[in-house]
Amino acid sequence: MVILEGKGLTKYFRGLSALQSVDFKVEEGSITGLIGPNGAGKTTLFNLISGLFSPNHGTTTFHGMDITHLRPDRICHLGISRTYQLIRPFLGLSVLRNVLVGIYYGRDGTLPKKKAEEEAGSILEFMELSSKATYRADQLNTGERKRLEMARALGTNPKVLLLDEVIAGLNPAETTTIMKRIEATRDKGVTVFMIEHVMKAVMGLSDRVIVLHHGEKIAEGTPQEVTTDPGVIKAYLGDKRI
Amino acid sequence: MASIIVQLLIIGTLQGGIYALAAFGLALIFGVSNVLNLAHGQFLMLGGLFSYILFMATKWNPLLLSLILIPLFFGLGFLFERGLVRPLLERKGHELVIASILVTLGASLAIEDITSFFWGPEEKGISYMMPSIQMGSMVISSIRLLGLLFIVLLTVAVHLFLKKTYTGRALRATTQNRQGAMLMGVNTFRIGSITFGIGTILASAAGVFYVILFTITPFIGIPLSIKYLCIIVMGGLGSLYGSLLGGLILGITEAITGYFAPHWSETAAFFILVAILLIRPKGLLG
Amino acid sequence: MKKIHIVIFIGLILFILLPHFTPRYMTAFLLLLFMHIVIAESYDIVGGYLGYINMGHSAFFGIGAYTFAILLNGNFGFFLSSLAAILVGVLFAALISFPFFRLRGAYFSLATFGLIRLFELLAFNLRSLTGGSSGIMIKAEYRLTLAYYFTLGLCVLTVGLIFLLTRSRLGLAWTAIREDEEVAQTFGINTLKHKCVALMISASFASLMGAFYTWYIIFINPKVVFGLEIALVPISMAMLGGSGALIGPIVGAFFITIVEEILWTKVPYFHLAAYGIAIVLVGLFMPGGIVRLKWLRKPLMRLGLLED
Repeated sequence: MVILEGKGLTKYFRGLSALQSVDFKVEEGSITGLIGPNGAGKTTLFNLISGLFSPNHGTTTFHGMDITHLRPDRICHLGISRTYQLIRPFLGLSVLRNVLVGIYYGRDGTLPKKKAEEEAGSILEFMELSSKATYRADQLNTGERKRLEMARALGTNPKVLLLDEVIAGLNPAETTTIMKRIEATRDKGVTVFMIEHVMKAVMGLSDRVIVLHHGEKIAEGTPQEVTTDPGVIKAYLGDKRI
Repeated sequence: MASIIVQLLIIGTLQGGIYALAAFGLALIFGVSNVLNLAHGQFLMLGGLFSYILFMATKWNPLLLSLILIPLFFGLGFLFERGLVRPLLERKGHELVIASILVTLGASLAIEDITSFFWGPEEKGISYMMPSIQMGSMVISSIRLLGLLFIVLLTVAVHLFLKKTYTGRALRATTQNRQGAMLMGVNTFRIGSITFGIGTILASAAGVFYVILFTITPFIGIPLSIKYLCIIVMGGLGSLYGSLLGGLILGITEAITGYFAPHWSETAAFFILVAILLIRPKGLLG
Repeated sequence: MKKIHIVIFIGLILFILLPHFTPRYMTAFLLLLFMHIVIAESYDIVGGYLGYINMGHSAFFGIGAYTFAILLNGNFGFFLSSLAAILVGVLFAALISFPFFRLRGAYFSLATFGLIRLFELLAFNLRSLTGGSSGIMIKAEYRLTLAYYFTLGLCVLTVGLIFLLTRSRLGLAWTAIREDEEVAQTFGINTLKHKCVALMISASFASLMGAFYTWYIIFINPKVVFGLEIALVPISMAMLGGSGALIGPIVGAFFITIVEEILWTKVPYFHLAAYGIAIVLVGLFMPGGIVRLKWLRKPLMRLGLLED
């Protein structure tokens, strides 16, 4: 069942085309990868989905419902949550309070204080951040901050989780940890749509992969199909024969 | 009626020109350093004050005297930035706004108090008589025309500086993209000080016109700073020339309402200020 | 009960008993101090916690003052006039929220600063309503002690409410908005609504204080309630003491008021200059305010007066 879908998405920034007629489908309960060379428009696509701005043309639908022009906070309440490529936790807040923001405000409906704090605690445990609960977000290292971003997004009890390069920049141990967490999240019934550059991770985790290049979708399919697609290879490696 | 309108337009353009001049200087400063300079109005006041003092001593044409003040005020602005503003530049966002308000406001209060102590709180004005010009049925004060000419020349001079010289282009680059300019080899810190110098010259020049056409007291600085800051916000904080436009609009509005409903001129001006901001949050040309 | 609570309690008792055993000028002095605390603290809701430096905060004070004066002279009585003062202030806050909160950072601060000047001019010009530059005199006698208790009460109420609010979910939303407004939106926070609520709460305290102050001082004019002094002093108190911390504005208010008192008696000149230089130094060396100075932070946090 398709849970998230985009049709004909086009976005210009002052005359520069960031996305051109992009169609995509994400199946419910899957892990779908979004890859492409730098500047391909991947984060722009995420920004469109989460409502930070509207496309010039095209629509995004969630469970068949048109969410193209909805406000970001509405989209979050509907069940779409995200992390940020340039890690943006609430730096002045503690790890715990970062997650609490999502719990108190990101859900459809709200929880009483005690339940909310319990929820936050279990999410932090899930993301292996319990020991850092009272630390301020700006006191964490990169790996911890990326896990915090994911924890905060999970606080909103999302149905779709948009992960923007959560693995890039992590050491092998941290990478393995977070990959396990992503799988565990999917096992809980959350659909994962992830932008990633680390090929091993994307290909290892994804059920399907979508490839963007210069704002256009150039390939789509299983990791196997995509890595052997000549267009994809050309986009990443250029035309020179190896 | 027509001659009244023309007179009003001339007065308005002149007044607007004075606003535009000082606002342009402030826009340059904000564009480069990203600092709300509440002390800008004080430099205007000091410009007027110093030219008054010089005039009283020499009785020369005050517009010519203002040329002497140019290097002086460049130095003042330069030093002000070096000493008080540059240390703040490493702060970010919220903290930078607080710090720049505190520092420039504090400096303004100190300047105002010390000035009123040494030179007295009374109004000062220069009356420099020059023959009026007769054009048809209208009598136009030639000091006003000369003032307008000076303002235009100054503005054109700064504009040419910005367009044609290396420093000028480096300055514009810094306002557009500080990081990028640094990567291109621009010493953005030095540009910051130079810009403050230039901006201060423009403020003091506006002050000279102020003391000729109106009067000044040591206390006009802070209300004027607020007005100028509002003008540059109205013109669009990203645009240098928006403030020129904003200043002109304000001046003409004040002149016209000043004639038909004198008590309401400043109010009308502020109304327009706030209204423009609300219709176009990024300012006129932002 | 922690030690600090006992100290606060004792302090309150002292302030309540004070008018009975000190000279009148001391009571008046404290009244002004508490008034500044109310304005500074209410400013800090939006300026410190929400992160929008509202330079026009004293406009609410002035609006409350004039509303109260006009209605009291219209024989509406103390209670109704005060209530009206709050309502008009809050309504005004709601009205300007929609346009003004579209502005960010410096834009917002300047537009709100311009607003005060606009009000000062309006108060000047709408002579039939406001008495113009001659101001309004309310029909009442000079009453120090009662005004003192009202102000003290409002001060305690303001600080107490801010204490509760900033620890609540609402406070969490405000801080999230301050930290990163765009991200806060994607986590379900309707930022416009929350900013509007913050401004309305902030306005309510300031406008009621304006009413009480008018009741005390009996005579107001545009310069007193919309002037630069009332606009800048409480805000600099909040910044000097420490914006975004509950005791920040209180410390700032005490500091500035006491220093001013001492200076007044010793040195007849250069008060404004000294004040100016002081805030320059604060801006350069203590951007977080007094309470966040390295050697003060730890002790204050241990006392439970400062949160991280």
